[in-house]
Amino acid sequence: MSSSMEDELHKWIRIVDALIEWAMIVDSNSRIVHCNSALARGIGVAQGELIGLGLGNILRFDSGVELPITLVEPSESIQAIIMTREGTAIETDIRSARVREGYSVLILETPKEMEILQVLDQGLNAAVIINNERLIIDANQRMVDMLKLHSKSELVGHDILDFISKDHKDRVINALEMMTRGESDSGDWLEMGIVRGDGSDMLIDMKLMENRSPSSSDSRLIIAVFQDHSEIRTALKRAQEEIHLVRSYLEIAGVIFIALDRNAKITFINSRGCDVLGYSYDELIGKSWFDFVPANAVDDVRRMFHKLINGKVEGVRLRREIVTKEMGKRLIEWNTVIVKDEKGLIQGLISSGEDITELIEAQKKLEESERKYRSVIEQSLTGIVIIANDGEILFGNPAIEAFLGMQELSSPSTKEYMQRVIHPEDLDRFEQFVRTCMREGSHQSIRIRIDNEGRNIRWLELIGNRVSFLQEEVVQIVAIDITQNMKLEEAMDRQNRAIASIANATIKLSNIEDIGENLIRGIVSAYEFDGGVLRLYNQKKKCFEVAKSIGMNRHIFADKVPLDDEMFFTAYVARMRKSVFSEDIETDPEIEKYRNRLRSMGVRSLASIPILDEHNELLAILNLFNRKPREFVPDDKKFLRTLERGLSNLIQRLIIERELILSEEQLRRVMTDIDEGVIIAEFENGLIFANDKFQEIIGYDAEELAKMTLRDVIVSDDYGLIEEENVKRANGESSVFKCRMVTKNGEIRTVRVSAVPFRDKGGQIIGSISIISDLTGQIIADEMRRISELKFRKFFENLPIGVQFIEFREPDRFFLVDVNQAAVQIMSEKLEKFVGTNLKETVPPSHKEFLEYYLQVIGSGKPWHGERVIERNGEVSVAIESHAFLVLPNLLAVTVIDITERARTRREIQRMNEQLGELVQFRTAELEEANRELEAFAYSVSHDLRAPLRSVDGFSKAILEDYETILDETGKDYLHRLRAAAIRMGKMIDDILRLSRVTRVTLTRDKVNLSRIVREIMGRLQNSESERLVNVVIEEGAFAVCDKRLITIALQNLLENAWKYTRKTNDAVIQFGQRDENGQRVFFVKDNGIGFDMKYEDRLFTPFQRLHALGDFEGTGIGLSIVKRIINKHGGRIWARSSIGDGTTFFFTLSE
Amino acid sequence: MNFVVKKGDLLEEKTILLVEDNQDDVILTKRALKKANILNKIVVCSDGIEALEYLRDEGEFSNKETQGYPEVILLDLKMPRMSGIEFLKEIRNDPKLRFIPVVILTSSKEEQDVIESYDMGANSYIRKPVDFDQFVAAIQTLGLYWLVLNIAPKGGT
Repeated sequence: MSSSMEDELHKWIRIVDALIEWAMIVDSNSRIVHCNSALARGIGVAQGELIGLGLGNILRFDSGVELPITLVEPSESIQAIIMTREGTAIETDIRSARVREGYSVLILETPKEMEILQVLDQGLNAAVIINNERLIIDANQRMVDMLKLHSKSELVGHDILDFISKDHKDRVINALEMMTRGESDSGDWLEMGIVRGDGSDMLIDMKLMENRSPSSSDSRLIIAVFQDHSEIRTALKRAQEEIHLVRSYLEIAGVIFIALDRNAKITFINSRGCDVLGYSYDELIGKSWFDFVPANAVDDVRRMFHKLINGKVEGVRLRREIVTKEMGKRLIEWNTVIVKDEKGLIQGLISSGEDITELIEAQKKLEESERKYRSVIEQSLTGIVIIANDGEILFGNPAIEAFLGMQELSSPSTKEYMQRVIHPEDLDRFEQFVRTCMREGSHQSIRIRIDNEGRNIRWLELIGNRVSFLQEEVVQIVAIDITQNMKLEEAMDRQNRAIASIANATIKLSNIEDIGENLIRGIVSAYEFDGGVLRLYNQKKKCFEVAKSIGMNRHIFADKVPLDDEMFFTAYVARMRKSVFSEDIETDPEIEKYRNRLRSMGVRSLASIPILDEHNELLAILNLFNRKPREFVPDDKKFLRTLERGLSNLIQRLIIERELILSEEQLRRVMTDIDEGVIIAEFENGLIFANDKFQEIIGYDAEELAKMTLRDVIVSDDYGLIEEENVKRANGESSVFKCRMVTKNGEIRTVRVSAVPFRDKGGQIIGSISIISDLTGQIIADEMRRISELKFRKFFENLPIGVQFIEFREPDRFFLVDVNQAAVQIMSEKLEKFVGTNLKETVPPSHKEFLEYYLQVIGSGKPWHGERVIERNGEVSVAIESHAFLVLPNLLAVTVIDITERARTRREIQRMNEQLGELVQFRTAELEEANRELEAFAYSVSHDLRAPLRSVDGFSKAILEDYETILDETGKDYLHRLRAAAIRMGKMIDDILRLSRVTRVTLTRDKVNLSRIVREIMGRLQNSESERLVNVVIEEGAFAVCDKRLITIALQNLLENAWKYTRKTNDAVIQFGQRDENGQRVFFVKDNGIGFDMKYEDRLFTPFQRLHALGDFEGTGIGLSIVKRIINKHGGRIWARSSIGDGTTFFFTLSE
Repeated sequence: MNFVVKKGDLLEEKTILLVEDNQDDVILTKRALKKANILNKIVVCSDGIEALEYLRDEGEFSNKETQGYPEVILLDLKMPRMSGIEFLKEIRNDPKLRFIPVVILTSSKEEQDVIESYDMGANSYIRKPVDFDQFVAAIQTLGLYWLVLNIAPKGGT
């Protein structure tokens, strides 16, 4: 074979290989020279296996076909059957093309499904081909693999549904039906569960495609392709998002694009560029760019343009202004690059630009507010609320809602709610604050209390300013919960406010050490410096003073750095007015001059930042350093440079505060030097400052005072006075007055107050500054002077009665104010030493009881008196009688009288009485014994003496009855007398018993109406002898406190006597009455009967003594004895006045 | 209603127990009872001990003829061996004797005796007057009440 022929053949081989149809090359002997990979794969053989075989080895032809096959017309074909390795017979139509030199290319037209499958086989997807009955005709290897089967034969001939999970079978059926109805040639991707050979499930997307065979329309084939779309979907989504982002970025950014040629002529400008400049595209094209640059910047722009166009600079990023058609200026941030042609020659520039005019303005504003805001926001910003012009709350963040203890701040009722949660006393201030914020626009701050029913009061610091919110002017308030710090801060802040105000300070104080320290610490740690020093510029002294240093021994650097001293690096930076960065001082020429000095301090690299105010005046220098070389990346420098301006507010504040601290110290010194108390009180907040002297006077320290109100130290009676004085202060008046204060230990001190109005920084009077002088000692003297003015003093001094004046002070202290000479004599020489002291502390414990009595006098206002007897060896040594009474509400007079003699006498009497008592007791015992004997006697009398009498009487009676006939009259008479005597004796015995009973009875005294008793007795007597006419005269209203039962017995006896002895009197008169005799009530019973001889008076009341013959008047003679016993028992006395024939009067008294 | 006590009205089986140590008083009391037409059998015991023996059929009374309990006991207070109060206490604590009516018949008018007697369950308290005529009158009233009007529990149980 010639080489050209060989070439020819190879060319064909390449062509055949490229075919996707089954193809091979045969020589004139019908021997296979080459077969392509499609064919080899199609029939399951290796490509090389067929080479050299005869065509008849693999094809069977219909009869009549002879080899070699030669086809003239390409449209002609020969039918044949080709066997696969597995023995499947595949029908094929063979076309041939003669190549040259006897070689032919045979193309075997395979059935359609084969073709498809071949395609699919090369693809990535698993696929099966199914027929109308859903039976699988063929499947590719991926399908076999996906289903974890071993060979295709496990699939072929099965219903496709066999491999679809139960839930998704309908889906397949529906999709196939849709296809059958011709609604679509290919379906959508369907998510489909498939069942694999090992029983596992898999979720995958399936798509059905119909492929109608062009030859036979009814032999429809459906290809099911399986593809895992999960990744694709994700990828797609991501892609879409990216596109969206890019698009939205472009939309939002509104970037200007502009292209300039080497002559700075505009060759392209986008619509955004046209919009910004205000010209149309056509107006701009071909114009020089410099026409749109402000005149003062043209040179600059031109220079930069030439640098770029000449290749000195690759690209540049800078901000430049442009002039619009309306002659306005816009600030554009440009990013410009050069454009080169393929030969590397610079053709022009392309700039993309952003209109940052508004942005810059906004940023400026933002920075301005941020500087003020920053510390607040960074440290403790917690709540934000936005309030509309009409007071309605538009927005509240969750934090503020938490502070206020409410939800849904923007609901309609919240305005009222806010008013409810704010402490009533703060509400007006709060509303004022909101109005001020709205009006002023700048930042305002206020502290208010939140008093939300039942919760603890919380303190909020509100910082508000006016902002635009949804095209509306609103007040934005930042709220910080300062409840925790409030106690300490309150005290400190109030004190600071006071001092600050005195110093006419213009801003509020806070802890400057912390500000300085926090500032440096923050920067040092964020930018990994080893240390830093903040030096404040003292404008008066024209030098820098150290405010705070971190990470460096303070002694190694100068306290003061004069601005003009060239040896100091700090002074250099100050003169430069710009930040200096040195990555390594050893190699940095800028530092050379200061290298040794810095080296000595251990500095190797540094950043030095001058801090300037808005007028470019130097405020401070912040030096930051490392001990090793370091690198400053541009961003670091950029940030640190921003501090030049960014810190100015903070530093200004620091400087002012520093000055204030000094004045506070000075002020403290001044105030401490004054030997008078100084307090500052605000009308609203009460005590806000108290100097040492005042603390000494009042006994509370500053910390305690900070928690107290003025009322806590003022005597309650003086509140009114203070109120009045406050009114004067509020009107700007100064005055001097006295009031009383209560010290910590309860002592009341009278003080003189010299008070002047206290103004806040705005000049508004908000309280008073008072100088307090303790007058207590003076007041006591005043009081005494007052007493002497009453001309009491002399009297007092010469009074024989000892007098002490004791001043009472709350709560229980007694100061001995004065004593007179008598008191000293009576009590003790020592008494004078106690004058001016608190007796509670000075008197001996044995005398403390008096203080209790004095307290009672103070409390009740009633005088007290008592005695004190001091004994020695059982004898009275000293005895004092005291009387204590009030002369002034707080002043006790205590008189003392020497009663020693009296006490001694009394003691003697007492002793005698005691002896007497003993005697009486002894006698009483004797008497009681006698009484008991008497009782026993009386008892036995009633039994034993009566029995014989009964016998005498009884048997006398028996004799008289039984022996009547034997006895003569004399005998009978004797017996009768015997009986009479016995009966009389029985009566006497009864009388003796009555008498004895009266003696033994216990008295029960009641108020008794004697007149009534007399009337009753006389009534009975009158009834018993109704024929008698007796004039009874009873005085009404005779009352006595006595034993009613006994007095009745006594009166009965007296009245019976009177009744008895008037029996023989004509015009008998019995009279009962009472009269006063020597202040004593005397009762009497008077009759006009027979009377008796007064010489027998002494017998009258003796038992059984009778003054009259028994025959004349009946009776045993015991009656008056009983009366006397009864009267005596009442402690009374009974006596009689009588004369024979004129009647008798019995008088008696009843001790009450 | 008018009660007139006639001879034989009071059944003889209704025994009266008189506890009295003074023989004069025994005679006079019997005489007073008789004069008051109280003809019941009168048993006399000279003190509390003897009376208890009688009631309990003990000692010399172990073979006594009459059975049952007296209709009423007339009791003196001051007696040797066992006083009236002690006797009263005994029988009031004896379930068989506790319901027998007891009339205190004594010379004493002392309040403490009266109170103590009623406290111990005496049914009546009569002070013997010195005057015999008054005594008879008192006995008559007593007999009418306790022996005729009063209904005593039978058998003393």
